[in-house]
Amino acid sequence: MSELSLNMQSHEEKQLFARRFALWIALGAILMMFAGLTSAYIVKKADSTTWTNFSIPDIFYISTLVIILSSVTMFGAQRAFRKGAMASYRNLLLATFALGSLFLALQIEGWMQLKAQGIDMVEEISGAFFYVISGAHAAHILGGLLILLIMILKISRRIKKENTEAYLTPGRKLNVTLMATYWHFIGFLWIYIFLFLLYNHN
Amino acid sequence: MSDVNTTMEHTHAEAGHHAHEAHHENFFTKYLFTMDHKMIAKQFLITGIFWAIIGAFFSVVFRLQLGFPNADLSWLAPVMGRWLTPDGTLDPNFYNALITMHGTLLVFFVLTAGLSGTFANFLIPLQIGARDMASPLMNMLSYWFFFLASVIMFASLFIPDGPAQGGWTAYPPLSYLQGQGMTLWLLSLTFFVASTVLGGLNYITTILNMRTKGMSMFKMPLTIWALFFTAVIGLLSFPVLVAGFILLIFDRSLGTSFYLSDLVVNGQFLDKGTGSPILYEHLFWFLGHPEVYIVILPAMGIVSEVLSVNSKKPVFGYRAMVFSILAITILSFLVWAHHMFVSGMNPFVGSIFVLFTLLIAVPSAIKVFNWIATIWRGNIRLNPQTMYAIGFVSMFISGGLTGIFLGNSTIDIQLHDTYFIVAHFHIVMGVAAFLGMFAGVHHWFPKMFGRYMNRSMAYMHFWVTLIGAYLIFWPMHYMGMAGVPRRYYSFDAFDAFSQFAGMNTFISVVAMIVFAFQILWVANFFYSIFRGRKVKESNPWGATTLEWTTPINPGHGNWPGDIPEVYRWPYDYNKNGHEFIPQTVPMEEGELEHEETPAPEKVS
Repeated sequence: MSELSLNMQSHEEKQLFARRFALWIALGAILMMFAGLTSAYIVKKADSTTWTNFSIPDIFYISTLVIILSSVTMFGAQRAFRKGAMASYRNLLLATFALGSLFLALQIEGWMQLKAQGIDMVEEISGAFFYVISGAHAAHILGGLLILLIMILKISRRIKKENTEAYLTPGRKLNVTLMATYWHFIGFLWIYIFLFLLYNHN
Repeated sequence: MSDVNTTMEHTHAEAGHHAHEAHHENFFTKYLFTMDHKMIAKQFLITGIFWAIIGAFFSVVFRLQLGFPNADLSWLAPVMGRWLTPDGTLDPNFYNALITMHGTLLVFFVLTAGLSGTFANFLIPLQIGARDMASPLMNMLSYWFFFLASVIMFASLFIPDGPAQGGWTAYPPLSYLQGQGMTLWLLSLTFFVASTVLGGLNYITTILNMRTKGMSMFKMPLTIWALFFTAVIGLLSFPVLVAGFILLIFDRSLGTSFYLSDLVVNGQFLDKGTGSPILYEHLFWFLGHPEVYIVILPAMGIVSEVLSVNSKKPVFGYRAMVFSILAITILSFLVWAHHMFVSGMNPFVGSIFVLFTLLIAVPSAIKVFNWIATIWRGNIRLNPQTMYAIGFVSMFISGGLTGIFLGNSTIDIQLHDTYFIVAHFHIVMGVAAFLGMFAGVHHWFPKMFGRYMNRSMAYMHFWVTLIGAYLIFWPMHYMGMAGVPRRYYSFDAFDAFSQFAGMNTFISVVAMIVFAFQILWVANFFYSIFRGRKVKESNPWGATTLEWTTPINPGHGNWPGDIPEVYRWPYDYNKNGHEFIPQTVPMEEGELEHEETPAPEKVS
């Protein structure tokens, strides 16, 4: 952001740009929390004498695939929105929402399988870390699904009206960008967590 | 960015829009669910004052126990109720609750939310030339999360188990063994972190994106720099505290044992496996140490500003001040383990933390030197805020020097958890931050409420607080060196410490007097809001910064017309024959900026 463009903008324009900026800082804060959790994992593993290595159920590979796929549909939704194709934007959002929900369901199924393997939160500290870190991530997915739901409801109410041009205000465009950024971020976050857990369980 | 630029046409009438807004404000939108940063700042300040009174009152109650062991406190029964034993003495469990609440309330609710919440909200838009925060909605949410945290914490005072009793650090396994009070404590602080993170996001975003024309980063007042780095520290450290809390909540409520190992409590064996309490200490102090800078940096910024304005001299070494705050910010993340020298850490690792800890003395010393150099030979006006600011510098030096003692692991192992450490941190971050806060409130009170605070009461309060604080905390250094441990309910069982009984009584008496004078200050504060002398001029202190270019009682939007443009740095005092030159005055032809060296004079 150069000094010049900063000077040219009005209060509202600055606020608009600032919202995107604020989201990135917020993502940094979320990342710090997971950095804290994974650091705790490393420290605990290093000084533990009774650490159990268990193999991660295969279903988590599938859920990883699903979350990557949901990012792809989200990219598609962004493209459709930019082109003004509101119907396909809504459909792709719905697809993203479905994939996100599927991801959550798969995570829960994965936790059940782990539990069936005898990896208990109370008994196994390595298991407890697994549940807590993936659970904290699932909470962020839940937040993302909520945002998606709001955006789907918003566009569904608008879609019958023809006037797409007037609908596309900078604020609404920005909202879509912010939603997509958050969604890609939590997808990326899961990949980081998954690789971290895989690495530490082999 | 191209999509954003298209809004240009229909946003230019903003000034009129803001003036218009004042018409349809009712009580709720003006005072409660307000999005005006100035009102939110006042909300933070008044909530902070509320907690400060409660937290200070708690300290008086436990000082009663320490100064007059097992005295009959039944006269306090209307307030303390069941927390007195049948013979009228203080319940030991409640003593623990008092010290826990005193620490939690003062560190988090008063000196974090009350200090940086107040001044970041109030000063950032006014001093950088913005109509409001980047996100007024997030700003409002920040206060209401803080309010929710406050309600939960307040409620925890009244539940049957009593409030949390595990110390403000809530170390497991002690915090694991606590009742509902600790659950509420964790819940409350989680909301508190949400508030701080939302606030911090907004402060950083606003400072980087919302500055007025001409306000480059190095034309910002030092208050803004300090608040900026405070927010950066908060955003990087508070999420890690949440991570630590999540694991603690799991340990307490869901039976995991991240932090717990096999325990024997009251002869009962608890099979808890092989968790590590040290892990919690790492996660806690990764926040906990930066937290002390979250507390002290805003006070430092305020003091820099107040000293410069009131000695009518430019801040000495402006850039050195900025870079020393930056250095403190970076170092603050590399020293957390100096709280843990006795945890059995590898001495080599310990020595690295000693090195970084002692390095913080360098930027701190730069700042102290610059404050003194700023007022040196200045035309000092000894109004209350200047007194408070000088008091801050005094306290910061005294407490900072004992920090150098404690930073050495070899000495710290002897002094750990004694009254020496109590004295150190109360002086350097408790009293000093409070004096900075008092300076700030006195300095910006005219802008906040359009009135002045009473000066005579302020002088009385200042002297009693300054002298009282030294009388309270100075003797504690000697007690600490003699090994008197902190957080003990009573020293009856230790013959070695009986020699300090008189000193303890003395400290307690002084603490009560100082407490009474804090009430005087609060009375002055509220009296002055309604009955104080009215402000007649828009720039009563003769300051250069932008907030004094607004009307005496600025509305939502701050400036009725266009936002002023900035041409010069904020510390043009005593320049070219002017006592002060506001930032909005264009540079004269041939005038040199403060950093330019004048051309060599011609020899005639």
